[in-house]
Amino acid sequence: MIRLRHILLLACLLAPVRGLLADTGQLREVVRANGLNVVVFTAPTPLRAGEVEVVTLVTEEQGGRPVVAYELDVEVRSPDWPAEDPGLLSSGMPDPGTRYAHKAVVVLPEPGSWRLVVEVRVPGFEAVEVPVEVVAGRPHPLWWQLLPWMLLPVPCVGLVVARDGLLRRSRRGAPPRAS
Amino acid sequence: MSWMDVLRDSALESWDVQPGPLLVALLVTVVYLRGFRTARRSSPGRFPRRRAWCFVAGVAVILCSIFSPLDELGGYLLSAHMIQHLLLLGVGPPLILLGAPAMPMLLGLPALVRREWIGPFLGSRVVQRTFHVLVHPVMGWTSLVLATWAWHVSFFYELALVDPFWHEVEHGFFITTAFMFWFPVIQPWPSRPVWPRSAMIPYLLLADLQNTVFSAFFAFAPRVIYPTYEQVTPVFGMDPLEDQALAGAIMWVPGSLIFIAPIAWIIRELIAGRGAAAQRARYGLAPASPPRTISLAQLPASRTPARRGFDLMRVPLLGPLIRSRRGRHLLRFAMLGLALVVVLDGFLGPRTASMNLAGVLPWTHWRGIAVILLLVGGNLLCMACPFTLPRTLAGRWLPRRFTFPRWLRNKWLAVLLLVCWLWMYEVLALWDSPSATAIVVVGYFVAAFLVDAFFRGAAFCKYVCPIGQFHFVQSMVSPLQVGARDAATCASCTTRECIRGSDRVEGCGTGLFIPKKVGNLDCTFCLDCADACPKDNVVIAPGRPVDDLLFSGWRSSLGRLATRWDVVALLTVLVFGAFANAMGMTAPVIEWQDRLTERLQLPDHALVASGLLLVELVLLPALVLWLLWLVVPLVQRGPGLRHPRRVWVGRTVLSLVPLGVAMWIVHYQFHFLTSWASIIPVAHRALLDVGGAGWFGWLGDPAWSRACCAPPPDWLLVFEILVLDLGFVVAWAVFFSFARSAGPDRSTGRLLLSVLPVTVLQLGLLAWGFWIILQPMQMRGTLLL
Repeated sequence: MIRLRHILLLACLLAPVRGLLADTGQLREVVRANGLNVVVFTAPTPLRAGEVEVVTLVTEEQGGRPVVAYELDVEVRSPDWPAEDPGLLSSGMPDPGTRYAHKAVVVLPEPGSWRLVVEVRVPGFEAVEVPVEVVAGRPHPLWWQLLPWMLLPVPCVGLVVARDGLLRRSRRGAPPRAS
Repeated sequence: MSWMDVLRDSALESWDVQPGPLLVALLVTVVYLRGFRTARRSSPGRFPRRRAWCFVAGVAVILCSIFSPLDELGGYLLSAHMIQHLLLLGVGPPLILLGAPAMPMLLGLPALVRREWIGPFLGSRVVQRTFHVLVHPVMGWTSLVLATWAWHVSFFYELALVDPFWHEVEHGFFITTAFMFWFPVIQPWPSRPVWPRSAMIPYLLLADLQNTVFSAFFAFAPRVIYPTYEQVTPVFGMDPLEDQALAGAIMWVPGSLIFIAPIAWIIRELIAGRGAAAQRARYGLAPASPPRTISLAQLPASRTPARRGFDLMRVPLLGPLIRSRRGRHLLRFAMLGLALVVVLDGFLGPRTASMNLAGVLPWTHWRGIAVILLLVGGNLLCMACPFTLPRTLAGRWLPRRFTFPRWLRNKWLAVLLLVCWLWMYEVLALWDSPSATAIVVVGYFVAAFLVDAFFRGAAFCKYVCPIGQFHFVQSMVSPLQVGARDAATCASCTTRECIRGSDRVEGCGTGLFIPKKVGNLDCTFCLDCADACPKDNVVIAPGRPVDDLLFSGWRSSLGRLATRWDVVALLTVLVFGAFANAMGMTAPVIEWQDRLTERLQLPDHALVASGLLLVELVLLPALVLWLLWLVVPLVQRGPGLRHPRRVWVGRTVLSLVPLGVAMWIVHYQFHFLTSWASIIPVAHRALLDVGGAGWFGWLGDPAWSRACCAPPPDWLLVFEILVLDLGFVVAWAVFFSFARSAGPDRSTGRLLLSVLPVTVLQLGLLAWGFWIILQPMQMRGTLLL
């Protein structure tokens, strides 16, 4: 009876969790400013050079209500670029995979440190700017560049087979065992 | 600071230490030094210490030439590149050969490897003949000269300059041909010279002559030979032509010295009459020339008395801790403390997993460490399991009068719970929900207490616990096992406390009888057997690697594994579960799930994810096993190989275990190696929450940039491929070994045909693993609003 009660309790506790899934990525920054909470995520994880998704979730500081309609701009800058040079700009849109998040796709041209300046403009609030420092790894190598590593089992299997052949040959040459 | 200075400084600072070659070099050196100790003990005259120094220096020279700034500078300066080539051709390999590496390397390997894997090859005439052809002076000289000239032809040189892969191939050629060239000059023991010693003088002189022509070509060339050096920024203020002339001079003078110095040494030997005979007389060795080839019979016997086998319970510090019952309880209480921290933070901490101890400790750190510990140390994790504490409490407070129901005394319940576990993990995103993680931990404690409060023995561990089943199966590939120190002591034992228990201690809760126990399946390493044994005859010792998977006989408390469908199902779920679980974090699969969810207009992706899991964990394995069932009669045609279909299919699944283990390791190590630092800001945040800014304000704000997933190191992908490769090779060898034992008279070719269906299945899993690790990893999260 006790066990049944526990199972029921567990089921009740687990049930609401399923409905609260959101597709966001790696948490990068949480900022409270101008009456808003802005949470910034990036994907994929770990970050690599190439296309990167910057996902934001905005809630009101008072009451914590999620903001659905807002504008999102992301600027990509390298620490090495001169300050007067424009960064790479990208605008966001509502993320179809989630209920509240907005998503912008930016391109990190090469591995290394990058600064993402995320700007969120919510009607009725002052704009919030969130700088995010990220480090991008090298892009995945192409599969054929890894072929020498992938084919390593071939010589290993060859060695097992060769050993088997050698052992059989030596057994054939050996005098028969006394029974 | 000018660009040139920047370039120079960055090149000089660029020590590019690659873990792969470094690990190989360390392993080779450790094996050599281990064998050298034994060899020196039996023949101190033949193995003076300087040989070991030469070997280590040779390895160091090769490593330095590859890792040091020379490698980077070689892209800017031909002269630096030539120094690197000189080290690889004329310094590293001869130093290694001076270490007489053959015998120490053999002696340094484990006896099993030496006897069963090296022995057959050393005894093979084909291998012996091939070796003699390779180290013949004509072959050695020609190879070195051809390699040197060919790789300095402009096309190939430029190819190696621009492509790191070809640069490594070039180095491989140089090192190999250098070994071949220097072998007849140094003639390391126990090889026998093919030509008289005096013939090595013209051998070296001719090599020096071609080196002179080669060097002069560079030193006096009127134009730059390799266009790349004209395009790069000059370093050290040298123009490309000056650099080329310097490269020629380096090859000419130090390069010639490398050939002339051994000539001088040989002449000195000949004049002083200290040739091979004199050496033998000096060291008191037998006058007969050493044998031409190495055979295992030549290996000197160790003079040290036979060592008692390794026993983890005798290891300093760790041994006393795990031998003592209180010590083991201490480990469990430590783990209980961690579990409590996880539960508290899971319920009370932030709901974002990467900011919560319940999102980080179990799913990143514990799993990453667990898979390695299970591989190296056997099932030590179950020994420290905090969920066994309820059993201890239940044993003290409650009567525990029931035995576990007979119809549940198998693995079916565990299989069901394991599938539920994998389903919950995937569909409820357990790893990304701290509160769900906390609930599961609490639920686990409650379940363990309830089961063990009513049923005798370790019913929860043996029949219920999904984590325990994971540990049991993963540790099947570990060499460490609990077993008997001396079989004769067990044979003479009539009281059998290890299973029946004594007045003080209960016997084995999972019903394993030590003398008949094989492998790690169902063994929780609780060491109750060791406490109960009055003769101190229980050890944690290494057995033969993967013996657990090769053994086909009857096992205590388990019977024959291959004929138990519940065990086969458990292994199947864990093998296919490894791939399904890892595939769930790849971007294409997540996108596909999202698209399908949208197309079917479902409220969330739970149904799609459940369907995918059903296919991966049930339908696909069932289809595969059914197909195998059908082809077994075909592969058993011909003489031998008569086994019931059930055994053949069971052995197939057993052989897949190493592949499953490899996939779990790859998956969990990916998370651990990319996110291990996340514990720092998360623990920081937890401290601030508990103590407040008053106590821990001096720590500042948590560094959330570390909260998850640093860029993966470059070597990680290669490491993952190698682990999968190893899993495949072991899996294939296990099944091949079974097929050989089933049909000892079959020819190797026919046997290969017989194992073809299983090979195809294993290759399919390997390809699945490769596909997974090559995908971008989303690891997209849950956000609890």
